[in-house]
Amino acid sequence: MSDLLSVEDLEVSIGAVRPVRGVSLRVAPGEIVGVVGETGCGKTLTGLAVLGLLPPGARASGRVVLGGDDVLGGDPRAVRGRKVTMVFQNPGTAFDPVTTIGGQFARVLRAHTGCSRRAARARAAELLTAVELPERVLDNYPHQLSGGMLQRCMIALALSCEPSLVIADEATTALDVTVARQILRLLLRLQREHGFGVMFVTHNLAEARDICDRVYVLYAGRVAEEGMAHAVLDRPRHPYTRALLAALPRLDAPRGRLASIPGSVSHAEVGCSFAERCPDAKDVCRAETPPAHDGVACHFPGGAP
Amino acid sequence: MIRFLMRRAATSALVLLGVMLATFLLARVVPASPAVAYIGPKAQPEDIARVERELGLDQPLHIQFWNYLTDMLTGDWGDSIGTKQPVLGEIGERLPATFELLAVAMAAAVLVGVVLGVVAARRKHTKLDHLIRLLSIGGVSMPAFWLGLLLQVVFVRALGLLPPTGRLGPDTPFTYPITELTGLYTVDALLTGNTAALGDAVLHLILPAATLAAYPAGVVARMTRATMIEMLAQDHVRTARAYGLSERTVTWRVALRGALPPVTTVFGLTLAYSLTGTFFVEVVFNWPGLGQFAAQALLNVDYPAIMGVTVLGAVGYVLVNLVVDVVQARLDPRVGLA
Repeated sequence: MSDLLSVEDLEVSIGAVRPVRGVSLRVAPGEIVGVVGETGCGKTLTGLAVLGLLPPGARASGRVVLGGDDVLGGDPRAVRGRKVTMVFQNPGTAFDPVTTIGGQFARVLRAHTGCSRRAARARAAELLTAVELPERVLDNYPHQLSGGMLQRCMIALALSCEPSLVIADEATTALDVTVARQILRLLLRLQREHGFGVMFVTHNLAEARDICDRVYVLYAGRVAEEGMAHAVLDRPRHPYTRALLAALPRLDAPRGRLASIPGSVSHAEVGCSFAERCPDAKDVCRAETPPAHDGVACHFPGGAP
Repeated sequence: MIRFLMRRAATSALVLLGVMLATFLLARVVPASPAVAYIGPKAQPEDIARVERELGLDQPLHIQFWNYLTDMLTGDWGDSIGTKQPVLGEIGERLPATFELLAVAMAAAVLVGVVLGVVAARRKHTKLDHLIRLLSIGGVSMPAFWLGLLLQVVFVRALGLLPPTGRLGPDTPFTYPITELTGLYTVDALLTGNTAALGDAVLHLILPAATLAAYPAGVVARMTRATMIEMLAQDHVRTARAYGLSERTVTWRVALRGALPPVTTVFGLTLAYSLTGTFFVEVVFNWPGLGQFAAQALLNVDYPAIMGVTVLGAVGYVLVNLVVDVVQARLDPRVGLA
């Protein structure tokens, strides 16, 4: 099957810093693909690059092709809100505070379909029903709604464009656990009904394992490991993925200090960027950048000999 | 809304009472005696005593203030010492001219200021942005009387494009007389289909309005630029872009909408400055309005006229800021009318 989204060797630089250093990933139509990693590994920038929405001052190179359209080379507005939409991390700030929810739906719907105000309202009410919200929410301002309700609105807004790809950027992070579950379930149900692909950006490995078909583990702007979600997260081969999983707090673990990964992210130009923090690092790790092989960018996948 | 208006009416009344007390006391503290001003420089002591008795100036201060208050409320604003006519009548005669000038100038200031501010924010750190910032600093820092003279030199003397002073050309009242309905010449000429007079009135408005608009336009432009830069970096503006809205919609509908509340507040504040600005502008452009009347009154130590204009200015200022607060609540649903 041809790819819905194909990102090849994406690099993003902001001044002298290169937060994304050659990420390649694919999303097939209707597939849910997780992009996981800790803060600052380049997850969000990768998502924004797909929309052509990088912050001012950021420069991107590589290839981003979405449903046949070259996003980096062409006009990203050809795909935004038509083929791809984004569900943002902070529902509280992602909506325009001085316009009603209905007004914001109308703005998007009318920009794409040129329909009448009345038709836009009817369509918006339908979309809200799909995310289990009452129609009266259309007349509310964002500050009158809870985070969970706003995230439902955001998902409904995403649906309004009938996209083939939805980028969910930490869509549940700002919500409490039970609401986050509801939002995930909603997203999955709509994904099954509408068949869009999902790029699920998260640092929550448990969520990624639960809903993703495949995952990419990003570290310091590179793909450290990729593969089927269960394979990668149940039998990690890259030491970073192993360390990340070991850092998950567990209720059944013996009491004591929580596990963490020593040190902090380094963006070493030479060698493996994880070498500094890797328990199994050898000399070759510091000298040579490991090539991706069989889905793992590590000199010693599965542990040192 | 009703409760809000009632509470504001009460606080406004307090403000006005304060203004009246202040103007009243100032008139009593300043050494120049109103009686002397009333009679003239050759006043004899017995005349002064008589006039003081007639005007009630021999009464205790609080009785005088009470008389002043009740007279003002019943529409007796005293007689102007300069013209010997009732102050309220003098003010009513000149108010339309000033109102027309102010309204045109303020509308122009908001329009020009907002557009320049938005363009500067969109083109942040380009040559255009620098030019707009220079213009707005110039508008804010140039005194009105000087700017007025400068514009006259350029557009009247050098280019000969615009008429120098007054509300109408010298012949217009005779060749195309305006039927006064509202006292606003442009509106009256428009309503009666008097296009020749309309054109003349508009031409006469341009320079004084531009002079008066320079300061608020500069302030609004600077405020709009700063707020727009902030707004354009907000999450919800990014959302709007992510959902495929055009840059034009994002700028003028989404970001500007959010930038308007603070701009409105600042604009309301500059209005007080513009009210005093009319004093200079009307003198420079020989505009037969309140500002010119007030300037004359100041020079003649015409207490009733000064006090009348001051109270009227205070009423205007209080009303404008009431309107600003209501507009503010309309623009931003998070601001309540409490």
